[in-house]
Amino acid sequence: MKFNISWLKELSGTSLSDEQIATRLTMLGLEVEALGVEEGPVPDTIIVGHVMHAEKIAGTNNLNVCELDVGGAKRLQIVCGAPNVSANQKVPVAPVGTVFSNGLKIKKAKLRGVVSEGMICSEAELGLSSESDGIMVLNDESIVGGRLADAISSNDPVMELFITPNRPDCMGMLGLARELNLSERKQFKPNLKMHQLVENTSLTAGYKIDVAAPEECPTYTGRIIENIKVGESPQWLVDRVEGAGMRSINNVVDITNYVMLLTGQPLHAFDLDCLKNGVITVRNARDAEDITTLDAKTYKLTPENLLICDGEVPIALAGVMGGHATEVSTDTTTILLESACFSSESIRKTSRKLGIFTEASKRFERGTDPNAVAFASNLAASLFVEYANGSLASSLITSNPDEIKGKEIVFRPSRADSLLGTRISEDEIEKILVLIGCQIIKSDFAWTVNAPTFRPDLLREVDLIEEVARAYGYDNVLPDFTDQIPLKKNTNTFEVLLERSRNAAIKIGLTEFLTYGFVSRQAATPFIQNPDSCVELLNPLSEDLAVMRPSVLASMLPGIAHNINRKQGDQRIFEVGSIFRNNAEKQCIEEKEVAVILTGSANNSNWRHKAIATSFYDVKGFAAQYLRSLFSSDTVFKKSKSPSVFKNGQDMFLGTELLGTVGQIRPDILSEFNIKVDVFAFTVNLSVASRRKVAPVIFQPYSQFPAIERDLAFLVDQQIEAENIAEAIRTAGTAILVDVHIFDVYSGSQVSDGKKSIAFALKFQSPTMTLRDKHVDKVIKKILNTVQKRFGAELRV
Amino acid sequence: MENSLKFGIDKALNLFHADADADAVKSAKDVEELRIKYVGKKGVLVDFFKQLAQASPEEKRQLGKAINSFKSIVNNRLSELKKMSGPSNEGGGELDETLPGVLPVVGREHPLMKIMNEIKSIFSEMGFSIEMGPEIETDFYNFEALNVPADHPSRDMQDTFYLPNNFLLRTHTSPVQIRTMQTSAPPIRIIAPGRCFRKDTPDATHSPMFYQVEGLVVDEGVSFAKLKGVLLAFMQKMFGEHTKIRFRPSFFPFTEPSAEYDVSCPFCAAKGCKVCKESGWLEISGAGMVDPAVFGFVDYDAERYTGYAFGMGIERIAMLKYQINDIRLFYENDLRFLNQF
Repeated sequence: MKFNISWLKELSGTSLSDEQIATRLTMLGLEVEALGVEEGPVPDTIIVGHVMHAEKIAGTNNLNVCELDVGGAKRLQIVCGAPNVSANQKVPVAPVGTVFSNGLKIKKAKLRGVVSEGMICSEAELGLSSESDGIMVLNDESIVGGRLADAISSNDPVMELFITPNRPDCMGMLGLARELNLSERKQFKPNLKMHQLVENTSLTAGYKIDVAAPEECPTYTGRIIENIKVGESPQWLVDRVEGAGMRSINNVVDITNYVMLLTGQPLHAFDLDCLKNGVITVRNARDAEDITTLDAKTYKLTPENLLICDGEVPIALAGVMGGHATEVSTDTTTILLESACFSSESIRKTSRKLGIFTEASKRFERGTDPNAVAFASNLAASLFVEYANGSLASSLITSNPDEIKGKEIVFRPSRADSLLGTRISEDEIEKILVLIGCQIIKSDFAWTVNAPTFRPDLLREVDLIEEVARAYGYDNVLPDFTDQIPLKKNTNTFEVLLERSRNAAIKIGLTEFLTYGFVSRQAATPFIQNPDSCVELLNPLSEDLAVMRPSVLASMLPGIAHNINRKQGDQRIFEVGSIFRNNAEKQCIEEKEVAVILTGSANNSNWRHKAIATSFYDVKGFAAQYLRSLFSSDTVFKKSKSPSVFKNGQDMFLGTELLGTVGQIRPDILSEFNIKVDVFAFTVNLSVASRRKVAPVIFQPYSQFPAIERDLAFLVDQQIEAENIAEAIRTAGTAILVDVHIFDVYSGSQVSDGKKSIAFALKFQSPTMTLRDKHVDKVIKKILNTVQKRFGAELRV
Repeated sequence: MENSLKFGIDKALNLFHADADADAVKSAKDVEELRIKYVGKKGVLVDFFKQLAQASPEEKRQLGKAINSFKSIVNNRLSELKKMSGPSNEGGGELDETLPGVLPVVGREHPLMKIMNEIKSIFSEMGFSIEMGPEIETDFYNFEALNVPADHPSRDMQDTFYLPNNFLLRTHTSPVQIRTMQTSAPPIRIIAPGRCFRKDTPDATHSPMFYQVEGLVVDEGVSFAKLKGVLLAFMQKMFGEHTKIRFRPSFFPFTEPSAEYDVSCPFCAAKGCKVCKESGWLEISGAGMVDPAVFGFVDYDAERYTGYAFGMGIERIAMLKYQINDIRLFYENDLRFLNQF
């Protein structure tokens, strides 16, 4: 809602400053979005010129050579092609050097051999209107040589408010003035000049209104005004309408818009000579019926849409836009002025379905005041008489002459205090409710409050309590700190697991990414089994954000590529977030996943340590360490059987539960993300992991007796897997073998082709005694036997 | 025989200790020299073994033990020294204290998560428990049960992403309020942190995905004054003890009375600066008393119980706290950004 502040001041009779008004309105819930004098789009260099002579250039149709006074000593000669240019006009002049916002630059030129030193501008060229028939002619008071911007801007500051959807009353100036008066605790008595109407009741019978849809249209009124002269609006009317950001059209249209801005009640004027049937019918549209609106667009309708008809012929889309055929034109002499009330729901549906949003629909969809219908019509009629030469040819013809009563609400002042935590006196509460327009019948505990019909948002006691709070001032409600004692605390265990998994990742030196939950279909494809399992958005922002991610990796990889492209390729990254897929029944399943990505160098390369490229073993180590710190038990890795994004993927199990996969991401997938380096990753499905109980940490006593260490190096065929040998050693090692780890793997010139050497460090210890070599020797022998037999291994000495 | 070898071993051990403790041992090269001298192929140890070969079986057992002990002491000490010495390319081994230390690898939390955890821990101290809900929601939980009927103009305030079968991406974490109230009776004292989605084209201040924390308290005697108390206490912990808050009337379908709340600008002590656009106040989010209509959807007695709810955007708070001017930076994941927090 945009308006000249002077108008608000005039209506409310306030003496507050502009800034004070802004603060008051803000603290009443009317958020000030802008305040100040508006600057138009006009380039700064454009000045006011005075046309001294205008002379047709011989042999041309329309070209005039003009001499202009632009304030300085030197006069400008400009060739102008507009039909309306003539001597003694004040006009906007763009001198040589002016640059328009569309890039047009004014240069010195010769037209038909005549020198032109600038351009006389039209409104369209200045960006002040969309089209114009000739140059813009300024009013006589404009100062020659002064800035055009100064000449055309009113110095009246404009205020723009954000009106929440619950406040239709504030879509009119009277409603805003009432609010401002409320803040000053002043009775609202608007300063309105309105002419006494001399009604001509004799003609009323001649025109009928038939409302066939009373639910959608509780009240419809018409009024006939004749002898209208369509012409320019007086300046004050132009200022009010343009201050509100609307275009001044002519006196008839401007008056209907002015009354709407003032009262919040939209009006519409039909050219009565275009109506043939003597009856206005308000009905629902028939299926596939159509209408052509003012803007010359044709819409196909459904019974959801409400129509105003001349007999059977649609002439307006009720409450949204008038029809093209019955529009007021410069030739109009007699009008039918519509003032009506439509159900907000009906207008909302039509407006949304057809995508038409007008000043009228914006008001109707919030719910206008049914009792303002007659008032607005009367007010407009008096203005038509005064400013458009109109005379009243009928009194108000209405479908519903009854006054509509406001909602009756039981209100307890004590409830206001308990809900707000305040102690506001009953007198103050009463005063506030009266100032917003309520009528009160008081009794001991509960009052009966009649809410005004212009406040359809006031339906319940709590709505009135909000009014009391708003007017009392939210700032005056003192904070109460007594409530801050802990309640019984429930722990959401899944939330705890998610936090622990983030912390576990940070602990092993990973940096956290946060990426969008949606990705391109292309990015999602490698991570889904079949296209049906992909969760698609019906209305995505763009193709790049069209489907919900099936894996966190899908949204992380673009970020990885971003950093590689910026020469920061050493990345150790994780993200915890939701992943989405459709199950076989086409239901969307949402789960949580952690994804870890390693690429670039595996160590912090620096002057002491050379960079080592990240390998499969690094990511596997991160995965093992990560799961150990999350679940305090060891992960079992097994060769991945299902096809996946990994090359040489290893599935990770805790017990029998498959938690995720670790490996190197396939280069063909990486190339989809424009990544050309090795990238290693693992993912863990935390929703699956959450089913697993975290083993409680229980202290394991360790042996007090000395340990014996032995190293064994085996020469085996290349394809023998180290973990299998380790497992065989563990099994053969009996209870005294407490630790086995691989400390060296070698293949190369020291061993024969096709062989590798794997060296194991073994640690023996007994919880009950000091082990002697003989104990260990016996076990070693057993180990050697097993390993040699099962793997054809040869002991290296 | 036995004694002279035993004596030789003891003496060698003493010599070794003296050598190893000497200041001259600095670089890996120095350590390697020691290794060659004592346990290398032509070192002292090999000599001992040669001598041992001539001993009687009885002596061998005793001396073998001594030699093994010598060997393990020397090797242990050498590996200790090796760990302490730099690589051989340090050039001469003079310590240059001006060379940079070798930084350990550390993990880093995303700034939004850092703020989120700060918020969670403040509310935890104030007795709130943490609840979660799905990101894919139904119309019922995201709108209807929050008193936002279909076609209501207030839906225009949030442009929604839709999925097949009438599912949608939640536009706020308020559905968690409904889910919690459906399954538990008052008193309720929760916060619901999480991801939300609105169909906004990304620019400096809009993101189609963002994080939010919502709070809900329902009990007997819960008032607007208590809502102000909780948010003031929270903001003072978040932005400093002198922080003030300002409530302005507003409209949300799920609260009545409704408010927008601002905090006093912590950067200029509310005097007016660039961050607060000279107003002294920073707009945070919305709050209010739970609308009785919402209680109707979860079968709470709206006469007996009252409640308050509030929301806050994590990006907004992080942007204020770290003076970040473009919301897109949070989701670009540039390491130069992430490494600053």
